[in-house]
Amino acid sequence: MTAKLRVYLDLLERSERGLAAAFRTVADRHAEEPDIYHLLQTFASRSEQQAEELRPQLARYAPPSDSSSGTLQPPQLGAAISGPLGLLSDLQSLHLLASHVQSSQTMVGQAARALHDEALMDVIGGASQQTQQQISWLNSRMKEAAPQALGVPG
Amino acid sequence: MHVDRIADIWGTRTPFSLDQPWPVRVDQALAAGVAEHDVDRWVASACVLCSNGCGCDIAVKDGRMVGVRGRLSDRVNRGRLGPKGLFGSWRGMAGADRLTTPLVRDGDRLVEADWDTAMNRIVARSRDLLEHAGPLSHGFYTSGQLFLEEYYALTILARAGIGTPHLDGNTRLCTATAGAALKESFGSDGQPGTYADLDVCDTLVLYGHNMAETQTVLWMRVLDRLASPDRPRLLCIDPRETEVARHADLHLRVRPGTNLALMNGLLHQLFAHDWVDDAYVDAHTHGVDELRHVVEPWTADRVATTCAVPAADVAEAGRMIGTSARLVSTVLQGFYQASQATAAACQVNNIHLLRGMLGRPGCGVLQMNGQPTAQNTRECGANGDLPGFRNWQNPRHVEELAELWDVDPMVIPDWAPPTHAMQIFRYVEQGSIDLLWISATNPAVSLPDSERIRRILSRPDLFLVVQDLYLTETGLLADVVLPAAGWGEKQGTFTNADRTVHLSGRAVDPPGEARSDLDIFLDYTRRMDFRRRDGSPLLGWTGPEDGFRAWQDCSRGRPCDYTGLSYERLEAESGIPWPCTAAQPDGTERLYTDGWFPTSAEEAEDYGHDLLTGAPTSPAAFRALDLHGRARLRPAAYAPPHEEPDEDYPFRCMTGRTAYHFHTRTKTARTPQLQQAAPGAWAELSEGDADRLGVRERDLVKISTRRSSIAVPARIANLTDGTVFVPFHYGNMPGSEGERTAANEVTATDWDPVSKQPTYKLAAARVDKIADGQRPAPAPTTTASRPAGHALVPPTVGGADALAEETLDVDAASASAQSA
Repeated sequence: MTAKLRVYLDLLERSERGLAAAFRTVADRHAEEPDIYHLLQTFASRSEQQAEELRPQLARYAPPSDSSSGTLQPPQLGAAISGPLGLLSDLQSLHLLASHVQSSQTMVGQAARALHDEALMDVIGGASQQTQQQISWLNSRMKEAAPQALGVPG
Repeated sequence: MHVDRIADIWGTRTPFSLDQPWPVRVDQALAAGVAEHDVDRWVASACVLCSNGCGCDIAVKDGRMVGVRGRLSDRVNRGRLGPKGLFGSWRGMAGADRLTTPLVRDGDRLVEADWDTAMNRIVARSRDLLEHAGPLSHGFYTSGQLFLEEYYALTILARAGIGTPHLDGNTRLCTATAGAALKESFGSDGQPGTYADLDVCDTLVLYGHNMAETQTVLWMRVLDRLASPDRPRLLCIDPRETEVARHADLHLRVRPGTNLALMNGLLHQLFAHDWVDDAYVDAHTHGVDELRHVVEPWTADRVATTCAVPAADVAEAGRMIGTSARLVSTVLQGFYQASQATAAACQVNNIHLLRGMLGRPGCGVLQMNGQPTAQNTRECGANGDLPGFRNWQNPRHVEELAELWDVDPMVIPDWAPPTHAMQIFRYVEQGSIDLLWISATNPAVSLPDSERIRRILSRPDLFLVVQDLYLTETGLLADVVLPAAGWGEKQGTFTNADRTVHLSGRAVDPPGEARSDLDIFLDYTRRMDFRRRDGSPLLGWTGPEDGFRAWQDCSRGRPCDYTGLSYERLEAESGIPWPCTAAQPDGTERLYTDGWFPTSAEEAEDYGHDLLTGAPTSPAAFRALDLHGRARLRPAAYAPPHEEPDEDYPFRCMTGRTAYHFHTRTKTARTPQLQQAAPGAWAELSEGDADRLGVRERDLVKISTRRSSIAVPARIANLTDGTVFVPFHYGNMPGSEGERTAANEVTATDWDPVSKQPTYKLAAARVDKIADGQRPAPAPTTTASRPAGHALVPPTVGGADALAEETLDVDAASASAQSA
């Protein structure tokens, strides 16, 4: 009866790993922005750690017999664009990926609550705080960068 | 008596006990051949060669500045001056190479021009850019050296005239973290304590603050207390054996990059031993449970491993702080220019909040400034903040400014945090800022990774305006150079690190056609024809006093209220600390005496930030904290620094100051006494490291990092193994040849996420000997750079030219002052 939760746990784990990889990719694309470079490395490590912490939870739920639900996929990072516009678009992509992690966390957390699964609730609770921190920063950094990237010719 | 104040930086001791005021000692230095009775007149001012703000009088003879004397009545210094003030303040203005006329670029040369030509070039480019690229094409990078009225004018022209968010000061490099930490903890900028707290504390902690060299007169005050039988206990946290460390009861040689771990360890000790004022914490703070949780793992043993400090010393430091009855803490660049700067500086505030030690005599925090007028850069908004400690996220605050300036609120850039200096230079690098106006600062030497900065400033499409006393390394790259009048040549006010406001008089005329920075900003605003909504000029001031009055209006009702001050009062009474209002005409010695903090959403200058990411807290999230005037305890988890040593770069390199120089030596190199005391760059190595590398005192060593390298003579000094120290003063001045020596050739482009202050205190480096030594390393022997062991190095002395007069007899000094 909980097999469908496993589908979303899998999705969340892939989403976290995808976000971690995207953080590292964007960090490398914009290594000349030191604030972004260093913070995204920190974010990447934390997202990887969050994915690791999900693994023991995954094992506690049986995989679904119906393989069709395995096609759920997190969003992907867009292709590299150079310059300030590329930075904006990468931050926006990361925002999308992190939001996907967050909404997945919300759904899994709701199910965990309903199933009285305190271990899973703890993992999701800690992780969602970090995801919110990532989203808040992405949002503020986009707000700072947008006027210069979009408002100045050249 | 006459004292060689190069050999004896801090002069004669005047010990005083807890129940006594700090005795007067009047220091005076006059030009060779000038006696006191030759002086035509004395003009009141305060010194601008560090952030201490010592009241002084400038000696004038035949229309020239010929010396200086400390003001005995001034609360900051009680007559004393440091070597830079005594010799450099006036002498540094009189270099033969002062700029006396504007210069404009003609191909690869700068040629003399008149003011109309120079200003019209600026205005033409400015108008063209505003028309075709808009306000974000303009950037302004100013200083911690101008006067209050000048910063306020610059802020109005940038914010309300042009409407650009790109305005910052070099205070970003020196004092940004002080302001940031105060805002995070207390809701607003504003120094809680006063220097007088040093007189009556029983425990004094200096966090990354080599006060003996950065504020020599403040250190005299401490030395005078330390020389008394009821001296306070002194705790020093610094990787080097500074003069402070030598006098300390306990010295923690913290490993560079690990300040926050140490701070969390000290807080751990306070909780573990219940050295917490529960009543104060309950009534006046928010967040104690989270703080306790974050510092809980930081046992003394864990701190010892991370910070390379003995566990017993961590416990003892905790005991010193925890058992103090009256605690003063001061903080400076060892924390501000290091990793996790704001987070670490906030922990100092946390200690005082946990111990309930704020707002009472002897109980204070001094988040120090590096520059004399940095406080005004912050107050007036030339550091990017909104003037009067207003909040860019509070629409009412923005409207207040629009009303004061009579402009459309839409023009004031409030859509995001103001652009910090490192980001301004990034936009210049990317070509979206095409006009950069630099006043009274020398980023070609002072910003990290100098080669990159020179490349940015040399970008062909950039129109660079540089306004300064001398043709600096930065000025050489400019399209227009404007000759500025400086200290003693113009009138204006400024405020020191303990909020003391001074008026600095115009003692002499500026050289040639040089003009005050205020006149230059007013001239530009006039030529640009910026206007208020009522059609009158945006800046119709006729002089600095108009600017001061406008600023008083702007400060009214804000934490930095100047409305009770006036030029008249400041001239008659010497330094007065803000807030100063009709209700508090004598000013305010200590803030937060009632434990009530400006943390209501209506009042707060800032809603705070995530200390890890730097993301601003939203107004809604801030309101949800429901602070009601309580201060915020701000916990932060330690994270290792971004640049750690490895096999290729095994050393930790940090940069810093020596007592004899200021900044990039614009004034101090032109003062023979100071320049001879520390004539060139050097690098300090520990004895152990020098042995391993086969480096002897005097040998030429190459310091390399992942950016670049410098070659400087080695000084075998007293610092932790594995660290290297390089003074930051020594750029390759115009005309100088040879190896690169500027510390910032090797520093990294990296900054604190909250304060955006660059991380100068840590770069992974390698050290190689490249030649045998020819002559002694030019490092002073009187300071933290003194040689280790018994190395044969000639002592630093000043000789006959460095004799200053010290008057200890108060009555005689008073009589002399009255006759002036």
